[in-house]
Amino acid sequence: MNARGEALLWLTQRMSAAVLAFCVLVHLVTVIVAVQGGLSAAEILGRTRGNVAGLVFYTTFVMAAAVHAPIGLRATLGEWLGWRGASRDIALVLFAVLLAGLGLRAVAGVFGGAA
Amino acid sequence: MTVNGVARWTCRTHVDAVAKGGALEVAPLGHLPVIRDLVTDMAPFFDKWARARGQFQGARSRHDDFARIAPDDPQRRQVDAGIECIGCGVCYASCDLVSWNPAYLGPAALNRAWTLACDARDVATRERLRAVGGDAGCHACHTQMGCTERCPKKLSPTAGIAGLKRALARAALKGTL
Amino acid sequence: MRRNDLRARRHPAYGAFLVHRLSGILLALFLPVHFWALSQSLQGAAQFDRFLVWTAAPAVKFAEWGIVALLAAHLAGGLRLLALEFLPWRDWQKSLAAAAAALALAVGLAFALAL
Repeated sequence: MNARGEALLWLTQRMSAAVLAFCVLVHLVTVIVAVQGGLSAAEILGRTRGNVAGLVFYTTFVMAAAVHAPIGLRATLGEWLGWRGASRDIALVLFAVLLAGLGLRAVAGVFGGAA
Repeated sequence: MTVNGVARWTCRTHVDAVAKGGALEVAPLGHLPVIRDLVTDMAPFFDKWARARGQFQGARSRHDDFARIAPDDPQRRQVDAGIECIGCGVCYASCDLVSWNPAYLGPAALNRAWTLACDARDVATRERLRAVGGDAGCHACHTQMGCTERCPKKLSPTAGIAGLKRALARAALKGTL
Repeated sequence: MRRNDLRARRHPAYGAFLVHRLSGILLALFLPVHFWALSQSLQGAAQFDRFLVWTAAPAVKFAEWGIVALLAAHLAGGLRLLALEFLPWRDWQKSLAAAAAALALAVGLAFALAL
C-alpha cells in the first residue's frame, strides 16, 4: 500500500481507538455493575429491550470494533506470519464484515423490541 | 556490536560494566549481513537512509541571504533533538521490526527524515513524506522503543517517528501527499 | 544476519508492546464468539437464560475475568500509544508503560471482586 493509504489506515485505527476507549470504559463499568449478584436473562433483557440509547451506543461500539480489530490484525499477520499483499487485505475485509454482521445481530437481539 | 545480547558501542563500554561472572559474549551487530567474525556490512543500513530521503535539499544559493531560524523555534527544537545521530546502527539492531519486516526503513533513517521534515530550509518535504509512508515506512513502528532505550546519544527515534505519523496523516487528509 | 533474543527485549516498552499485541489478538478471536453468545438472546429469554446458567460455571467465570483483564490491558496499552503518538514528547512518557499496567490491574481487580 502507498503512503497515503497507510496514513489513512493509521488515522482510522487511531480514531476508532479513541471511540473504543470511551465505549470500553462505559461497557466495563456497565458489566461490572450488571454482574453483581449473578446474571439472568429477564434482568438483562428487562433493562435493555427497547432501550434506544443503548441501541445507539452499542451499534457505535460494534462498528468501531469491526473497523479497529482487522486493521490491528493486519500488521500482526504481516510481521509474524509473513502474510502480505491483496489476499491479506481481502481476508481482513471479510473479517470486518463478519464482526459487523454478528455484532449488529447481537445488538438487535439484546436491544431490539418495543419499549 | 552486540554484547551479552544487547547492541552497544564496544569502543565506549568498559568490560567491568558488562562482564557477568567473569564472562562476556560479543557478537556482530544485529540485523546486518555478516562479512566475517564481528564485521558487518552497513550498506543496507545506509541504503535505507537514502531511501527515506535522508538528504538535505535546500532552495537557496550562495547568492541568497542566510536562512533565519530562531534557536528556540519549536520546529528547530525538534530538529536539534534528533540531529546528533552518528549512524552507528545500534537502534537498527535493537528494533525487532527490522527483522520482522525486511523492507522497514528503521529508526535511524526515519529519525533523520524527521529532522529534515522539521527543517524550515528543506524543500523536499512532500517527496520525503511519500518515501517514509507505505508498508516499510514509519507506520511499521509499533513503539517497542528499543531504539530510544539503546541509543548511545540518548536520542529518541520513537518521538521522531510519531512526528512523521502525524505529518503523514495531516498530508493525507489535506491531499498534499 | 544476527537476530535479537530475549536479552535485547527486556525493557518496559517491549513488554507493553507484547501485552498490547497479544491481548489484541485474543480479543479479536473472542469477539465473534461474544457476539454469537449474545445473539442467543434472539431466540428468546428462555434460551438466553439457559445460556446464562452455563456462564455460572467457575471455568466460564474465570474466562470472563480473563476477557475483561485482556480488554483492560489492551485499553491501557492503547491509551499509552495514543499519548506517545499525539502528546508532546517528554521523558516521563517512558513510564507510561507502568501507568498502563497499573490501570489494567485496577480494572481486572474490580471485575474479580464483582464476580
